[in-house]
Amino acid sequence: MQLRRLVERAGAGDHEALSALYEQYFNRIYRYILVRVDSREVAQDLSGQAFLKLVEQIGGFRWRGAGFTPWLFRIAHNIVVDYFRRPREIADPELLETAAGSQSRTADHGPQEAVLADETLQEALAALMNIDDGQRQVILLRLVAGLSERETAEVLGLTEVNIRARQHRGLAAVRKRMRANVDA
Amino acid sequence: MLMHNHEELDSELAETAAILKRLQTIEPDAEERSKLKTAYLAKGAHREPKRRFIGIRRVAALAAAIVLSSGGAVYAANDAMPDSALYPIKRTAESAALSVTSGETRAHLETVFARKRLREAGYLLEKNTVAAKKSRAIELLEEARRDGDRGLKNKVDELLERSAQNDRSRNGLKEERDNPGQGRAKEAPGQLKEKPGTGRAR
Repeated sequence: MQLRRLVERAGAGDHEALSALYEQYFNRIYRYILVRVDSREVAQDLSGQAFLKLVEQIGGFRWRGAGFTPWLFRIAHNIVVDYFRRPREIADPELLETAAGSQSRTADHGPQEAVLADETLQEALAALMNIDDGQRQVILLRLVAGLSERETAEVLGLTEVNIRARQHRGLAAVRKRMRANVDA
Repeated sequence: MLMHNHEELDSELAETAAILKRLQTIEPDAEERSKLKTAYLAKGAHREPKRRFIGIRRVAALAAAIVLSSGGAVYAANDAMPDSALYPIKRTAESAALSVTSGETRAHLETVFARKRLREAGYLLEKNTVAAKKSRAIELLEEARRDGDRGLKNKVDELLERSAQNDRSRNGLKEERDNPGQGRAKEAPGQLKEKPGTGRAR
């Protein structure tokens, strides 16, 4: 079913439409949050919160611009921002370790474990966590969550030109750090 | 050379992007995902569809549209009293206006309509002594009392009290006509009040 029609029906409380939106978006939201927070459990919890907020607010949603996808990711983005604002202990090394998936925190999760065991990917994630925040946000939305340039621009309140520039610079920064680690 | 380096850079960046895109294959824990979905759908089941509420100007525009589409019947009914054939149209138009408002706008409209109920009740009480019309007046007063502000409630109470006194007065006069000399003995002292300015003393 066309996304716009699905969202309208979900806004009217249609159970089937709400279910379809969950199936379509949950994994993407989860991945996006997982890379930003410090544990799988937190990512699950925050993803759940994002979808509860979806239910609360979808009745008032009006289709503008790129529409529903940026709106939902905006919700997820704000939930993560609020999470980091709460006083908690976190150190960059821990962030790196859990985002890449340590043995103690990630029990057997099938594909997830295999993906995160990839050393090259772990290096890329470690580098990603240490680049400019604005560039990282773009890369997370574009490459991890799979949003288009237009959708990413709407989530972050930027132009598509900004998005392309930040993505380019961000990837260059990640690459440079990865090379520095290799050369070290 | 520069172009070659540029191409090389683009190629390296594409490779870096491809590495990060592998994260798109991560799947959440299936059991947790399912539990979260249950909670999400349960919340969706309890959510009331959001109604669109509109402000007083749009209510006025809506009212104008209703008037035009009714061929003026709603306009004609605006001042209709409860014993008029147009009165149901008036009440329907008021209900329609209330159904699209909320908050302060709705509270304002409720007060306006409560004042109308008070006027209508007063009209019936003045005009009729017939029991059916009287009880309708009482119903209208109860509506006014329920929906109106404190000032209006006080006026309603006054009107109800006056109506009760008028009833007692009429009953007393009727008794006097039917049973001369006996009706007066049944009146409790002080219950029968003078109309202002009648100059009659008892």
